[in-house]
Amino acid sequence: MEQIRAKGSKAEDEWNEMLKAYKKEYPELAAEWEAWKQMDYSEALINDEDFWTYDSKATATRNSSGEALNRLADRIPNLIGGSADLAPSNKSYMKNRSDFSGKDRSGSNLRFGVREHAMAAIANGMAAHGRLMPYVATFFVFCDYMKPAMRLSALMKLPVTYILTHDSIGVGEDGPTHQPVEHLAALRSIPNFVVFRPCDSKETAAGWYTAMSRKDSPTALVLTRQNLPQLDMTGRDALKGAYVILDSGKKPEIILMASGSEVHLVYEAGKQLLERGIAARVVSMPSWELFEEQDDAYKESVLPSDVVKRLAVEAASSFGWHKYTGLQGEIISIDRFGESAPAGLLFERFGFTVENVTGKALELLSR
Amino acid sequence: MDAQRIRELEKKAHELRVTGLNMVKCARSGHIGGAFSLSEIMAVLYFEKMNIRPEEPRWEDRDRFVLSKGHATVALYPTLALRGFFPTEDLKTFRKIDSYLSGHAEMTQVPGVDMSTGSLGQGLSTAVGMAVAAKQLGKSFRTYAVVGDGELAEGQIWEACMYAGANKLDNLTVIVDSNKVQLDGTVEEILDTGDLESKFRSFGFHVISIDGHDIKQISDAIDEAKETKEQPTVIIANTVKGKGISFMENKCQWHGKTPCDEEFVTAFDELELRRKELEG
Repeated sequence: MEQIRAKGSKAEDEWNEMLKAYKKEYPELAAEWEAWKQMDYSEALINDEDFWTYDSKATATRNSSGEALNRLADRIPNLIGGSADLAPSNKSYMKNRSDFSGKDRSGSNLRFGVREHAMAAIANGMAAHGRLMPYVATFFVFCDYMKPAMRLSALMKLPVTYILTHDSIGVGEDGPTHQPVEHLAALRSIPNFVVFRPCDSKETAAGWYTAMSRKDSPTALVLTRQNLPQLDMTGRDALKGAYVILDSGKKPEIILMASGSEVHLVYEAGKQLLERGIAARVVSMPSWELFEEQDDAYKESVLPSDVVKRLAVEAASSFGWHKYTGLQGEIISIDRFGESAPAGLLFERFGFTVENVTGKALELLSR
Repeated sequence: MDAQRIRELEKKAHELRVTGLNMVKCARSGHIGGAFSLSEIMAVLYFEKMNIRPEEPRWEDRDRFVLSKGHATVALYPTLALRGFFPTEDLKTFRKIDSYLSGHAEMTQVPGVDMSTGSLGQGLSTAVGMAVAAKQLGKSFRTYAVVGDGELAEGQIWEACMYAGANKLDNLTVIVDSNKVQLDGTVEEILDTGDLESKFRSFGFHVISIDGHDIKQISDAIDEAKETKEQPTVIIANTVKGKGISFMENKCQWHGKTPCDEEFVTAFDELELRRKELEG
């Protein structure tokens, strides 16, 4: 055994010697290696305006995510990851990197093939090793294929990032097999697991920031296939999980809340209510888990407990929302499987329109 | 490996069985069968081959070990304790409230554990992830994964094998504890795995079949795996479930059953006989 120890120490000494020589010869690359070792980019990222600034035209959050990921790939050498055969759809490819393979060990785009379960468990192995910041990607509906490994990321406190696109009936014509319904509730129920469903590019950046800065828990970014408008009030406040994006300045009569693709609906409905002289508040809620981590004073300031007229809107199962809407609140949700049709038509059919949200709010206020 | 060293490791394997059985006796719970099939393999890995530092369990360049068949903590905990990762005294708390020694090992709790296992099928993939990390970062450590032959029914095992083979992960050694018996019967009667060697070979593995209770064969196979380039290696270790306790051997009932008092007496008597034989 002593022999083995001696061998190990010798190898380590050789490595240290090599590193010393390397530092002397390539000081810049050596500095990069030091950055690798630190793996803490949160401070540099939070004030990096180039990371937080996005085009103002409507886009899908999966596109925003691809953009954010590629900005991160320029800044964070430790990033490594890939998709289960859906890279073009998931927008999960790092353009400045090559592919990892038997021939190219320096590549950091991993082409997993259709093997979601092994993919997530492999990412756990890379995260458990340390030094690397792994991400994996697939359609949101297929998180069921990797759920056991996602659970283990949480149990083992591993900061794996899950890119989950095509997050609702917004998938459209592919139909119910490809339209997530119960998946948000499922992931939100995993302890030590952060679910982040952003409503536009800036919130998507906040989701990636969360994923890159958390050390002891995995993060799932739940993203749309369809385009979404960019909202004015969104941004770094999303890091608090839920925040006010529209308010009357008076004590709210009603609170509208939503995540992801439904936020712009409640935002427009909120504006209509304000025009009618109703003190409406609109809350964007990309992450329940991050909101729960805030102190009581903040939570009370966003969702005052004496405001009981609350309406939540999410294109998914209502399961879990009652915690925030209370017994007197309402939820516009999808508690059945989806349908195969163009996405726009499906949103209309399932009641995800500004008119329906406004109508439900007025009904709630009249009770 | 000389005869003296072989004898030392045989004794170590025996000590692992005695310690494991005591642990189960204390907890009145635990999986003996699939732990005792592993005793010699654990002895060779931890007391001869693996590059590890018990005093620095998270040492970055350590060889990694993933017990994919995570229920075999009755083999793993005694190994880690006797190797110095934590006090053997703590083994008395196995499976008890407030203990860090859960029924299945947790990496956030137990020094020396590289992955929380027990959800069968996942361990091998996570070991593959560790091997990928090593390749990507140019590290020379090896990753060892022990899977059960019953566990081979999990689809994810073959997802991982296909990936490891195609990516030529020659820093990965998979050891199949082929004890031929799973919880609900023999592997053959439940779902015959057939020709395992050609299955793994077709997935791109270098395949070595050995007697998994023969110290020399285990040692040679591990060395051969280290020498193998451009291919991951699988060592198919032909073992006996419940090895060392005659009434447990090859019986699926002893996958997770706790012996009664008389059975414990018989079992310890048999182990004592074996000890005398080894002391010779």
